[in-house]
Amino acid sequence: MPTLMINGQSREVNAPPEMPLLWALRDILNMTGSKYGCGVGVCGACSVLVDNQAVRSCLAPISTLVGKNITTIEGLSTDNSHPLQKAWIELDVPQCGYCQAGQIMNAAALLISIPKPTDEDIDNWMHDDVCRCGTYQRIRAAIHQAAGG
Amino acid sequence: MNSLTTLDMPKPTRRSFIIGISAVGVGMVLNSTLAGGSLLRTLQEESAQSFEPTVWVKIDPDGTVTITVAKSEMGQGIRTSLAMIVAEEMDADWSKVKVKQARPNAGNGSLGTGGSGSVSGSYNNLRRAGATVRSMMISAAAKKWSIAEANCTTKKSVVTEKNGTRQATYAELIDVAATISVPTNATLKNVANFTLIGTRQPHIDNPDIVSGKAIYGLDVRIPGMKYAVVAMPPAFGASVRTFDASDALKIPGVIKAERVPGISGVVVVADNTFAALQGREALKIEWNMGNNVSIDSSVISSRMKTSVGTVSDVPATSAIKIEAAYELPYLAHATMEPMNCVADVRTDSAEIWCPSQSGDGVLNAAAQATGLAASKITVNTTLMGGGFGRRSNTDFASYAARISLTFKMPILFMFTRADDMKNDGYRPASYHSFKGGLSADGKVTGWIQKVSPSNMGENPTYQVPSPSLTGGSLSSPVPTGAWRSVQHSSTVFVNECFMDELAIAAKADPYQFRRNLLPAGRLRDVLDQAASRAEWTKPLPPGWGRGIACTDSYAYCAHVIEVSVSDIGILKIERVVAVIDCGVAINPMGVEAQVEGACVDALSTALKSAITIEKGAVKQSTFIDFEWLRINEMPKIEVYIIPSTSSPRGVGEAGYPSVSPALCNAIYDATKKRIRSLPVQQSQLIAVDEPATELQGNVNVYPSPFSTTFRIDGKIEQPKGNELTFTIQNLLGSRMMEFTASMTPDGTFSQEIDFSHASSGVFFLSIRNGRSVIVRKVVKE
Ligand code: FES
Ligand code: FES
Repeated sequence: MPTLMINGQSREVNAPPEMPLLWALRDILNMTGSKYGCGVGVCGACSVLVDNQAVRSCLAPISTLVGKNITTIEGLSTDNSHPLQKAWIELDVPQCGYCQAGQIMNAAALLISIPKPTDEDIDNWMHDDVCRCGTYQRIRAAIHQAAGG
Repeated sequence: MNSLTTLDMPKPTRRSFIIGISAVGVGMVLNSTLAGGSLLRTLQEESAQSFEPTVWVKIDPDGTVTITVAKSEMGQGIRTSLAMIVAEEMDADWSKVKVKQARPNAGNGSLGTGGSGSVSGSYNNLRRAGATVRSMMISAAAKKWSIAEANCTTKKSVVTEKNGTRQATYAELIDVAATISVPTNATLKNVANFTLIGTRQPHIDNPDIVSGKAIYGLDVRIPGMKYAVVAMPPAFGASVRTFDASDALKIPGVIKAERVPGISGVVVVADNTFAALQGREALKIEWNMGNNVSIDSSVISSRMKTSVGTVSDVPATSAIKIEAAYELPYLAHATMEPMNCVADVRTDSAEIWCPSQSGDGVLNAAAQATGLAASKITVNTTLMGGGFGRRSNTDFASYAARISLTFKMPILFMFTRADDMKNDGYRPASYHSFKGGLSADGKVTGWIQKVSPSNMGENPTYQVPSPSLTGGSLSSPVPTGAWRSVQHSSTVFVNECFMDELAIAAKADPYQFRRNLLPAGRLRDVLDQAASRAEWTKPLPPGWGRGIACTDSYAYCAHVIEVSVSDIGILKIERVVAVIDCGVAINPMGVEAQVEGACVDALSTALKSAITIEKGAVKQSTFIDFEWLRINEMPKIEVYIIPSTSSPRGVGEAGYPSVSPALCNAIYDATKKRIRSLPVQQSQLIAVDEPATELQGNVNVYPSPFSTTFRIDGKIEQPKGNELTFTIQNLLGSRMMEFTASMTPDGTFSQEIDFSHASSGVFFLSIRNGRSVIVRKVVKE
């Protein structure tokens, strides 16, 4: 039974080692913030941080994540105080909101790697994430705002 | 009984003030202190029987205001805008407002959310509800202070004595208010005095969304719940002949792998989604393929053409006659959250949790699937990860109810992304044949359209003499349904493009040509506004074009789009101007979001995505082959809302129809190429006036598709200098990469390109030498 470090807590996951993290989070640990959009790595809705890198949890078997620090949307802050969460609320980024946990986690990885991204940095980093509602204009503005620019 | 009467009455916590208001203005108050939790007091006792509230408002002693709304949220911001209407008239403190989702009771349709009708259809009721509460709070304060009601004012859930010092919060007044008769015709505010409506308010659910707490259908977890998927038939009309589930049942966690009555596939139920999917993978199924395997898109296309047949002529007196045919593909909804539903069917009752645009429909579907009376079924509507019309259907609720009924356990049924894309109710494909006539001085003399299928046609909104619209029927196995803006997604495209063709044939300015065919009014005003905001007459750089289109679908909307098209046919959207007149804009921030989102839909479907049929089935399966715009392809969209005090109209769909015709009219302006089918192909865009000089030689690109790097080599003829420029652009013309490399004097070159940072999809690689260029398509997996 693999033990994973999720949002700073050590969690035993009663699941086979090949189970992708997404299903372990959602179905075994009842952490439903990370979303299923495609299951094949092409939409980004399931993005989480693994050692501060954005990872598509629908593709990552839990066996490969033992000993790493996993952060999900539930662990980004306890009170919506992360600059991205604040900007997302204030600039009214979400429409249906279903893709936004993934967008925010991927943007969090971007800001860790490039604290003051340009439009081009944002394009290069975020273009794998689908928002079916088309909130991209606001995602861009919110990343800039969260980066303090 | 009716839709909101009993089930949706907010649970009476002690001392809460609860009021329901019906469409005809009858109010009902419930106050647990006075009534021991059961008193229903109405203005006229006899009306209690037929009381049909459309909204409940609850005020708790801590000041929280809970508004129960009948419409469901799919991203259109309806929970926010409906609550704003009530809170405005109520003068509630917006920061203390919470929204609760109504449950359907008798399935009478009142929870149906679609046709962009939620705000326009409930505006008056919701205003009256808010005004009634405010009036009762004023009466309560006046009674408490023994002063005239006219001496009381309200603001942010507080009643204040005019020229006095006394103040009371609504929460402090609820006991007194509960003893007051419900007024039948509380005075509504003057629209000019609105303080909340018209302000920019973020979605009320944003805090839950950005923290991962928001509950969509797939997030529902109930005790003992199992996870179900279905091995769906591989073609429309296919069915299971035999199957062998022995391997599936060996997968740890798989509980059932069986047929279920009423479901035409094999159902797999497991302890978790992963096991269910693995179990499905391990099934061995032999299918009866049914009668549709010979059907593909080209068959449907020729059936549509045959059913349209010949089109009658425009009046013989017409000096100029033109004709054109347009064809549009099927489209999937591809909501970000695939279809799903949780059902817990027990012996004599059931509870359903469903992300639905039609709570009533879900109730009916569950009743039908289970044989239970509707009164024994509770339906909870969750947030929806997108809707766009797909969730007005209830197929997924029936699946869930049947599976739970059969296996006697609570289950979450879900479509995978591919299931969802291949089992949709699609925007219909359509074929439109037009004839148009003009007099010698450029006046329209005739407008004739024949369309297949017949429900996909519409006469133009313009004043043209006796327009004619006839349709042919189409036999197709592909199920269809409502898709954002329904038939307008197609009708406005073809009408606005053909209108442009007439304008060009009349040698007229496309904007002025349209304007002359519109009576003074709100549609002409949005057209004028769009032209002026976009600086219609300002000259454009060479290779650029500008197009315009407008529509009266749900609201008045017009778009002007500027594009540039390079000499090798690479299209770039330079500017999008959108103007909307939706009457009173309840929440301008939400209106802008809808217009931006609809524009992304329209550009995605104009440029990238279509559903095609192969062997009686949908070919596409995920966001790779049914592509949506990505952030790097997103043009800046300018949205202008016309200030208005008229009754609100719908905005969820209004922003879609005029985008693609404005785009294709702009492409015509830039290239003189008329786009008559979507999505636009790059090959359609090579400018007529400036044919590209093709680079001669031998160029190889491999492998294709590639995953991270690919190689390009070859030898070009008559090289100029020793430099080659490589450019990679995406489908929308954004430059992803550009660099130069050298070649030998005889033109030989070899280059490895690392393109690992890019998303998967189709890209154009152009190789230039001097003024010659060659373009190759590359596909990244
Ligand atoms: S669900 Fe993981 S990338 Fe789409
Ligand atoms: S907000 Fe709906 S998919 Fe992004």
